[in-house]
Parts: sequence; C-alpha cells; structure tokens
Amino acid sequence: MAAVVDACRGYLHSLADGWNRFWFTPAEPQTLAVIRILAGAMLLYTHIVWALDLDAFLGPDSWVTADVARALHGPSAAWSYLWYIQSPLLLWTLHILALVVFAMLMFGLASRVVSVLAWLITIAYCHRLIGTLFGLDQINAMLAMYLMVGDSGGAYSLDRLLRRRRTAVLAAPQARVDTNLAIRLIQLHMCIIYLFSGLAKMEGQAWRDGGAVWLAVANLEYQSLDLTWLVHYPVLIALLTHVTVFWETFYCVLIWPRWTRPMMLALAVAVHGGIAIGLGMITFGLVMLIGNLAFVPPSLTAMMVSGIRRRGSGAGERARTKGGKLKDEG
Amino acid sequence: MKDQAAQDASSPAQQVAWPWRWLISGILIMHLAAVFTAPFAFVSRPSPLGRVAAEFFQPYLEWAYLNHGYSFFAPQPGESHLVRYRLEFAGDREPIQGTFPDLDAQWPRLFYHRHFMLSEFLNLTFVAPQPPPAIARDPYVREQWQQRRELYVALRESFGNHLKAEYGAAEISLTRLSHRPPTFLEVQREQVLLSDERLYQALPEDRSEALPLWLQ
Repeated sequence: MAAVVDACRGYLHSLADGWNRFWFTPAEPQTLAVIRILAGAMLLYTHIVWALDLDAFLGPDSWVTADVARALHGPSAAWSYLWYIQSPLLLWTLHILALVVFAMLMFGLASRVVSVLAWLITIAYCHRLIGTLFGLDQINAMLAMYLMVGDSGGAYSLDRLLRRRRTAVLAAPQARVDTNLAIRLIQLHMCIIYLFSGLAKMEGQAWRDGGAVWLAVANLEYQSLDLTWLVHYPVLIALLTHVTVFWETFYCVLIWPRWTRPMMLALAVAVHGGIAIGLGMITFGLVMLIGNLAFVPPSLTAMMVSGIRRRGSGAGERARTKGGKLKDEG
Repeated sequence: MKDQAAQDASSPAQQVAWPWRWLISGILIMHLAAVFTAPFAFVSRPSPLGRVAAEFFQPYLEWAYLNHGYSFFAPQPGESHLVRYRLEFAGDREPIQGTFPDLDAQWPRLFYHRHFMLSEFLNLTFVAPQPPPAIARDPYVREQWQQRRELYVALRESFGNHLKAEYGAAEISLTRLSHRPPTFLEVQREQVLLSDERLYQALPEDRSEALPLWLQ
C-alpha cells in the first residue's frame, strides 16, 4: 500500500514538474517578436480595409447599424466604444488612432502599452462589426490577446533600437517567463482550434466521403484560382479531403514531438497556402500560418532572421561596390 | 535530499515564486478551460455538460471575443449566398439593380470578403414569418422564433436603409440568392460552368427550406 501511495505521490510530483517546465521556463523573444511584426501587420491591413468604406461599415447608415448590432448580440458581455460614435469626424479620428496603434505594434514601439491597446481596439471592432466577420478576425483577436502577455518587443523592435541609442552596450534579447507563457498560450489555442475544426468536419458527409475539397473549389464566390480541373482526379480530391481532416484533428498531438512537428508545419503551409491561393482567403491563410509560427523555436527564428539580414546587407554591399566601380569607370 | 533541494533551487521554474506560479496556473487553467468549452456551445445540439460549461464561461468568452466554434468549412462546404437588390428612385430616374458580393466592384479581396460575409450572415439569420405547424405548439419555440424573426427583419431593414442612403433611393427590394456548386457529374459530363444560371435560386421570404440550426 505504501508503495502505491509513493508511486502516486511521485506521479503527481512529476506532473507538477512537467507543468512548471512547460509554463515557467523562460523563453527568448525572437519567435514572439516575429509574430508581433506579422500579426501587427495583419491587424493594420485588416483595419486599413475597413477604411476603404468606413461609413458603410461603422457610420450611422452602415450595413449593420450600431443598434442592430447590439440587438444581434442580445443580452451579452460584448462591448464596443464604436456603438456610441455617430460623428464621422470622431469616427475617422478614432480609426486613424487605431491604425497608429497597430503600426506601433508592428514596429515594436512602446510594445507593452500598444499591445494592450491593440487588443482592446481589435475586440471593440469585432463586437461592433457583427455580420461581417470570419476566421481572420477570430485569429487576429487571439494573437492580439497573447501578444499582451509576453515581451513581444524584446527583439526586432524600435524599443530595442531606442534602448541601444540610450546605452553604450545593449544586452542580448532576454529569456523571460512571460514570453514563454505567451508562446505556450498561442500553441495551445492553435491546438484547440484545429481539434474542433477537425471534429466539426467529421459531422459532414462530404468530409467523410472525400468530396469536400471539390465543394470548396467549385464554389464561385470563394474561387480565386480555377481548380475545377481537379474534377478529373477524384482520388486526388479525396486524398486532399482526408488529409485535411486527419491533419486538423491530430494536430494537437502530432505538433509536439520534434519528429512530427516539421511535417505538421509543412502541411499547415500546404493547407493554408491552398486556402489563400485557391479560395481567395489570403488573409485567413496567412494569419493561421502566423499562429503556427509559435511552434518555431526562438533559436531557429533568430538564425533565419540573421540569415535574411546577412543576405540583405550583402546585397546592399554589392550594390554599393557596383555603384563605386561605375563611378570610377565614368 | 540536499542535492534535490539544490537542483530545485536552480531549476528555471523556481525563478517564479510559488505563490505567483499558483496564481498564474489558476488563471491559465480557467482561461484554457473557457477556450476549450466555447466550441461546445456552437454545435446544433450541445451536450448538457457542454451547455453548462459554456454558460459558466460565457461572459468572459463574449467580452474577450473568444466565443467561437472554429467550424471552418464545417460540417461541410456548401452553397454560397448572395443578395440581389433593386433600387427605385423618385422622379424619372431609372431603377438600379445589383448584387453583393461583387468581385468586380469590391477590391481588395478582403473588402469583397466582408460583403460576402454580410450576405451569408443575412441568410444565416433568416427566419420565416411563422414557425412550422409541427413545432408551433411549443410556447418556448414560438417565443424564440418571434425574437429571431424580429432580429432578421431589423437586419434586413438595416441593409436596405444602407443601400437606399448610399444611392439616394426611395424604395428597395432585397432577394436572397443561393448559389450551389455543381456536382462532379455536372462538370464532368455536362461541362456545367460555376456561373451557370441553373445553379442560382432565389430564396423565398415566406418559408424556410429547412429548420434553422438552433432548432435542429
């Protein structure tokens, strides 16, 4: 009996140790910083597009007026400061300020403060714009929430650039627990998204019988690339359909081991790239890939960014050298 | 024992004092439980456990815009829905007809997609004026039906008012359209195009083709 109790105690201790290692091990900020840049850019673009016809979406005679939007929410905790804005001047002023916040987030200026503002602004727009939203907005809001948690300005940011100008020597990006918390939250949220997306698909006959991808490519309103030639390859359509369902459903298991993670991420690029190119949902495809970046280790992110920087500075050096030679020859 | 204590003191997790670790862990568990239970509220017949859990977390999920089902293209990709409108003007001005979404008029793609979501949302919100006789006897269903009908009418009027204001029109009529994808055989054997008129159908306003999702 004592042995069983000891075994249980040991099991619980190992669970606690595992929990602490998973959540409370400091992580370097490079991956979170890249997510900040890309998610910030996506938030900026999303809200620039609203500005193409701001009055039609948020004005007093909008597609869904503020009153109708509140009625559609019903008695709920949904909120938005945009429900109370009627003046076009005030609406535009607030919208431009929102764009400034998203740009600051993208460039990593006052990251800690603007990440909170960006999240609040994002969910306020989402609540007001009921009826126009889709998966892009759900993921935008998710990423904005978790960018608040970690030190997303800890690398590749104007914050670091400004600190470098103030101090003689700037320390390397710091590994922090809050950065790890943010990354873990994005990782787990992505797992939950894919799991329920896969389970929901299993309720549909077309996802089970292999015909769902055809229904998607044959939808004219979604089509951005004509893939109807796939009709001559029903086995290929079935393969794409079944792979999509299995990949989504088992993502939450297979994304963690280091041997299967690269394959799952490669499939993410294939699936979301296909959605972006073939079904015209470029923004949704891209934002899902931004979420998947959470599974790239910071060391690998740092290597890739360094490589890009070296290639960029090399190209710049070659351009300067070439310019110098032309000058001499002239 | 001393080695274990020394090892514990130097482990990365010990950088966060245990009271903070407990507090943060509690918050994490609650947040992730909320996010996990949210999709349970979006199936057409949620389980009792799913319903109770989703109700518990509902205020947080609603406030933070986390109340989603993540059922992308699920249960299956289906037909699209568009809205055709006809605007009448006072005086001699000719009526204007149009449809949204309109890929030719709405660019970039995200801008088009926003209009696409509006037409889909109008269709999703549709409730016929009266419930089917078979379920109309239930007073709860009748009350829910009436509330949802009022929301649909308000939404439809909002769409109409917007278009009238945009064009300066006096009257408007809106028609919901469904556009189904052609089947394998239709494309393989008959070379039916995706834009074939036979694939479009005007949807009636006086009845539903199927029970709404919330009643299935």
